[in-house]
Amino acid sequence: MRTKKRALWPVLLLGLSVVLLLLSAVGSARAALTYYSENYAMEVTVSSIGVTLVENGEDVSYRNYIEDDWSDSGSGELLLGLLEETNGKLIPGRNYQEAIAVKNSGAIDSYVRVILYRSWQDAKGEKDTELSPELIDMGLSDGNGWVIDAKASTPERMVLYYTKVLPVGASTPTLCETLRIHPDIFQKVTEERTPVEGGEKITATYQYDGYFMSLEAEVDAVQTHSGREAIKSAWGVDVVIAEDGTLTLAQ
Amino acid sequence: MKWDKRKKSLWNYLKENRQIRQSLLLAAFALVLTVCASAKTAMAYFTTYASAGGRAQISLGFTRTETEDTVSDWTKHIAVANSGEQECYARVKVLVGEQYKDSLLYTAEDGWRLEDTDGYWYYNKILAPQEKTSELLVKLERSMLSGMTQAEEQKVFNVIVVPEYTAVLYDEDGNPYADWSLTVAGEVE
Repeated sequence: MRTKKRALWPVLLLGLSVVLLLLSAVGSARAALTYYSENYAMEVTVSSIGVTLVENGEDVSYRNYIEDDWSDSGSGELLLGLLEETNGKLIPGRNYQEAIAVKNSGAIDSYVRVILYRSWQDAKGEKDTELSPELIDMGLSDGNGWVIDAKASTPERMVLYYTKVLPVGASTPTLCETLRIHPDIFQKVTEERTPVEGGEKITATYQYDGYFMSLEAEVDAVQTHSGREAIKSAWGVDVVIAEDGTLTLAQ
Repeated sequence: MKWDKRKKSLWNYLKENRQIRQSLLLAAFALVLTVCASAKTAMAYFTTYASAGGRAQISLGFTRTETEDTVSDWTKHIAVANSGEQECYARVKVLVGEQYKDSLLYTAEDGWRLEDTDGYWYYNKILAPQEKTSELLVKLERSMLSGMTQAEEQKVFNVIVVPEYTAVLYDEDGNPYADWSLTVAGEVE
């Protein structure tokens, strides 16, 4: 009898371990069941997040989480129709339409930010870091919900946050409206003078002729639930979120 | 064997009893697994991103002007031709010795305008590639000059034409303008 009692302890402990294991497994299973049941009942993927980059009203790139994978993704190209209004020529000084916005193409509300990278490449396609990216003038919108993070921005990179919750299916206002090459691009010029009969021929060759103006846009989205922690975790940025969901960059 | 804490410590009891030791280890392992599973759930956030890029080539080309400066019947015929790839604005300044200034008569054809503040003659139309301005005529009025030259047998009159041009720039609304601080200048005698 006593021997049986002694043998019971290990069995009880072992049983406890198994029960603990089972409980954790059952907990996950229950969560999974709830998750999938809701999806089925609503015929949407409740927890899927998605975002689309929009240029001049057209979807350019998107990445949506649907049915447990990211297969609903696509990447396009910016600036394709930029020069149509000037017959294919990029004229310094002139404003070109470049309206960039973000659409929530997922199934949960989200916070979004956009990082714009602007740079120059020479005629061979090599990056030129001496020519200021600030000559690529982005006409940023003002007072429509987008704010620039001045601390994180540089002449080459601009970080912009949309301060409101972006509901499912909605689009932000445009964060910029125009793009313009500053006329100072003409400043670097070499002159050559040649006498001709009865006069003089003067030729001015511009150093940056044939350069490429390059623009990249990256849009990031994160869930609004536990938004402050999610933003800190995903973007490494401290924010303050008001009761109405308005986001403010922490000082 | 039951543990009697008066006889031996828990550590010694566990060292002697392999079965109980294994059971406790297994239970601890299960506990760690459970904690880890919970932690993973707490740290996961839904995020996504999308990106795109593009580029456009600027075509500044080159600008080139050829100044025509012919003299006939005591008159300089000045015109500026755009032989470059880009459109431009042109202006000229006519320089002559102070004492002969009043002996010059200007005849401006369509498009030329004298700006009194800086003394330049501006051609107020955009000069497209392969286009030429109308002529600006600068005539030396000999009747006014004769009195001055009687005392001297011979006199060389230098009338210097300084042609300048600048690329056509556009403001934010697409309106063309000239920025004369970006001037390209020459000199023709």
